[in-house]
Amino acid sequence: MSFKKLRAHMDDYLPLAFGEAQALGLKPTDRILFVGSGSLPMTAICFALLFECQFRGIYDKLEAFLIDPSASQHQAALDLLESLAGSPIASHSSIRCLDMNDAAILNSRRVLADLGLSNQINVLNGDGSTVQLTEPIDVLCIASMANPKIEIVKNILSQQSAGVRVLLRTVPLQDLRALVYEPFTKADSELLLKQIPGVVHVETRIPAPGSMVINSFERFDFSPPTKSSF
Amino acid sequence: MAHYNINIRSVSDLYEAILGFYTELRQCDLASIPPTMMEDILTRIRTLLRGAFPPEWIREVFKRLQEQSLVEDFRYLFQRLESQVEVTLAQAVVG
Repeated sequence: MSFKKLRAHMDDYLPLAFGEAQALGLKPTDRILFVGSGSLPMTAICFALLFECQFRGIYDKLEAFLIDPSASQHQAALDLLESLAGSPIASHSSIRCLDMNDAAILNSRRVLADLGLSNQINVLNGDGSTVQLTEPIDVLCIASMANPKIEIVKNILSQQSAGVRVLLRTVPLQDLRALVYEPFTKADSELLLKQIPGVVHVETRIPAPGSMVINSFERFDFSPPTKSSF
Repeated sequence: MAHYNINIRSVSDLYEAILGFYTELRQCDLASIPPTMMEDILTRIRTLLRGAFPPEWIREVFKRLQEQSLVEDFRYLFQRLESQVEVTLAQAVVG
């Protein structure tokens, strides 16, 4: 497992993915779809490693490191994840990544194979706003760069017959971070709630001051309406 | 070329730092830049983004950038660079 090469890049992703996993109450049995995973599906990798820590009984230790935002504790968390590299990833997870860029799909499949995570994470080729899924999901995560978010959510949820936890990665509006990603505004949120029956807003989480994290996220819950109104 | 948050003491400093990054992003998009330089630019931009600046500075900077129609372009160039760095990292992982 070439974790060493990923380590520097995990500064942004690990605390973000950890916070998202907590907010979503992720379990290894959850069928997760991550839309817009790119060449390096870091969030999916982080989720799979969090599940592996649970499997190996070291999750509490990792959590203690990650709850403390200090740099030394962050490095301790990365050390712990790096220690997983000595033996094959054995835990179960059902994470699907979706991307519409052929090169990114090829790259990410190679990375996952190299990390020994091909059984845990599957990369699909498709556009989130039109893709037809062959299996149901429990959790839908959408990357900052994946757009148009409402159309993606609408398309994916229209295919679900059971509840789905939804997370949209974004950036705070009144923040310099909005310079690099398009914010999902309150008006967007209201539009989403209006356009997709059965969706309720659960939480907005923005990075704590001094945090390594760039992104904020919006969390929604979806329960399919008894009569489809899509 | 480096921009460090510690040197940003006014809204003009912040605006100039962003313009400096914009120039670097444009250069990255036009020329063949070594992967380590791309990562360096990305890291420095992220460091700036994490800075705790007064809200009125941020509003003013966005206003100036919008007047120059630079926000969308900055976003596009940053995301292109981020994708390119991910490709490079992915290739490094698989050797």
